[in-house]
Amino acid sequence: MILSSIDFIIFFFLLLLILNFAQKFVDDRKKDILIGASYFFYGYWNVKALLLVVFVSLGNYLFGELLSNERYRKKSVLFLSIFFNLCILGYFKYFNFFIDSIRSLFPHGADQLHSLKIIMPVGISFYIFQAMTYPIDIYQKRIESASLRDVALYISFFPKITVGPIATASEFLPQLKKPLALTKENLMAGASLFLLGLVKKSVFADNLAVFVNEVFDHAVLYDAWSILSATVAYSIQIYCDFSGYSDMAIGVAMILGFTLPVNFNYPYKATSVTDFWRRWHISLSSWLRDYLYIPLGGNRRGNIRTYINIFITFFLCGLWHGAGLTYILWGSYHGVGLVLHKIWSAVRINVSESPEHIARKLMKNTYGAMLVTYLFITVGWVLFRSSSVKDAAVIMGRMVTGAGGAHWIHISFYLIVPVCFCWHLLACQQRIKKQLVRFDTLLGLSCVIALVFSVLLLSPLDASPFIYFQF
Amino acid sequence: MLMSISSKIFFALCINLVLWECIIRLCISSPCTQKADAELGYVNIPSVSYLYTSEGYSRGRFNSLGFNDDEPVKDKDVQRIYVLGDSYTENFQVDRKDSYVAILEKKLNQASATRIDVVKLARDGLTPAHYPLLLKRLEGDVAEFVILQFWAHSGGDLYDRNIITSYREDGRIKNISVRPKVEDRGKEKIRFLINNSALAYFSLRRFKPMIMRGSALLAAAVKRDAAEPSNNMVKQDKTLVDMQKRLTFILKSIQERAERVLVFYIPTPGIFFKSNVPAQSMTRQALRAAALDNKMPFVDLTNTFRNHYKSNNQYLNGFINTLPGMGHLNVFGHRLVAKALYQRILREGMK
Repeated sequence: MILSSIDFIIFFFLLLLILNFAQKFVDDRKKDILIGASYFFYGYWNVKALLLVVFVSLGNYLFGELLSNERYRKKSVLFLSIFFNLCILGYFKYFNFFIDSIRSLFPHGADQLHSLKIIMPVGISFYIFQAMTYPIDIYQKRIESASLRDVALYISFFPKITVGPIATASEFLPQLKKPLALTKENLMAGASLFLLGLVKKSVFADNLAVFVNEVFDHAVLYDAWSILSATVAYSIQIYCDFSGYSDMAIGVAMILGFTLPVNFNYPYKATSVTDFWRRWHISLSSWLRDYLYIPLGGNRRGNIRTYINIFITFFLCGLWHGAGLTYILWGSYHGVGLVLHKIWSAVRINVSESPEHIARKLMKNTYGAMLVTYLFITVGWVLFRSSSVKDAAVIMGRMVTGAGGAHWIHISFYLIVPVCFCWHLLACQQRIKKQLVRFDTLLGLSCVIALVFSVLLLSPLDASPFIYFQF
Repeated sequence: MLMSISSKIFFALCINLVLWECIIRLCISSPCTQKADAELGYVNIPSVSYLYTSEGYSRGRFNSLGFNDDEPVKDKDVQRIYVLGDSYTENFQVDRKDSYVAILEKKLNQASATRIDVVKLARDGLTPAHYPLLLKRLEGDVAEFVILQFWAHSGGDLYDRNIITSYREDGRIKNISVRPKVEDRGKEKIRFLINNSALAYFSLRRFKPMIMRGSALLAAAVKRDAAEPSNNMVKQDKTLVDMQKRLTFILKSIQERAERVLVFYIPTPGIFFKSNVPAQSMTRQALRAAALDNKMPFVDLTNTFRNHYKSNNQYLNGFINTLPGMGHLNVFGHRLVAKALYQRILREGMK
């Protein structure tokens, strides 16, 4: 079930009815209803994969109990819990990639190795990372151990289980201690956010997908301008798709009375790669910072070690996105970019008016910095979107050499890309959203209904799947 | 005075209905421009304006005959060429002046001392079985010159369940006729709405597959099967030989009403653009043989299109609001068709 489907709308409507009826029940019963709903939501895709979610919840709950028990060595239990979670993720996501890599490196020596028919459960990368934070946060004394009910709800909570945002245990579990209630304010705020997310995904991202998919899948047929336009379109598509889904998830959680972390903050306004990762998939970058980069030593062990830590973090970030060379290269590309930015920031130039000084002035200029950063990020998207390194090389090659071919730029590029860039660069998006997307004024209601009409009338009928679903 | 929430919702809904009606009329689609017709299924309402953006873009007004064409020239000294076809000829995808019919007319008039009027008798969805019916509607019995447009699926369209083919005992075709159109009651009930509201018409077209599925489920649930008109004719398999017989019959019927006939064939979209599309279609083979049988000149555009794409990297189907290499002809496609027809007509001579 995906959040933009009719099935979900019906499911959520029924859930709200049940929760409204259950307002007088104790919180534990309400949590049971939410757990049941979450298991139904996830099991709707594949009942067997649901067993894994239950297993992960049980496993991490037990580790939490062991960590709270003074009889056991906390460090050993912590490592065991990390090992447990990573083994599950490694088996379902990376086993075949590992086998295929060995076979390609040793074609004659690895005849005995065979790939397995493993179906990767939807959202495994997301919920495993969330599950891991539970024992780690207990170990670091950010939270205390919770009940099995709370842990089960935390890991399986349906708005965030498949595509995030990645809410850590210390962010989510304390919310379960407060009374659970549906309020009118949360309903209206959540519904507005959900609707905005739906427009971003259905109207913007899905229309751009028509153009992007055609050009990227048949790049050899198209000229350099078409490929360049498709690359720019992809940068907008992936943003609208992912941030749209995040908005929908956060909106749904808000309606239910929960706060999920913000996942995007106008990433194409970033003035550096470092700034970009403070604005893009914020929940993941925060997770990587708190649970990987800082434990590796962060920036506390000298410059060289800092650069190595940054590179390792983003290498693994790429690997998290997918078991494929393109993702690893994409993560490494960003790792190198971040390291270079760190070096650049540290360098002091004494000679004035040198080319470096001029470049620094340019970079200090906000729009210049934004443009350079955007170009860097967009080149990375070619790697991310391509189905193989060879395809990525073909696409980059055709763009750089100005290759000839059929010229075709879909109308969605001309209509959607300028609108998205202008909206991105505005300073008052939040104020406009608050004034216009609301349910209590005539103007607000008109805007809400206009957004609903736009989804019904302007979204492609054969919608593309969420891009991040594959991770 | 404060409005209640239900009043606000009502007014907000009204504002949006007006707003979206304006947006759709200006930018996306006109209201429905068709009316029911027993023989042809539906025809365009004469002299009505249209806006078409589903594939390509065009805006115009139908002529007094209900075709997407300029008014036929009524002068007696004018030499008339009738072009019969389907959506490829009706052409909503490019401006009327960019269609192959208009370009052909312009070229012929530049080369001829006599005024030549190329008249379009085409409508989306027509099959070759409808072409004789179109000619019957002309004033006067025999047309001087008729151009027949076919494309890769034209032969297959002759096996549609609304086309009735009867055979003699010796296997020759006795008659090909079109089943009278059963009035679409559902659509007729909302005819007033869709003919006057662009929003209603656009929504109907957009959600029609879902509505049809829902109606089918409902009909199955109440066990109300639509009465399938009986067809006592023996069903024939779609073979090359049978298709050739049908096309031969159609061309003969046209020949009885026209002094001269030229047949041309538009290949499958993407034949040159996507490598996995087969080059040889049954229609192409059958049509070539049928034209030969009836001693009609046959213009096959397959190699013309393919060579053009190879030399110019320019696709001849597809628009900025569709996928390239698919669908109807764009301006480049129309120019190529006009050029090919013009050269053939010059070779054959006008008389």
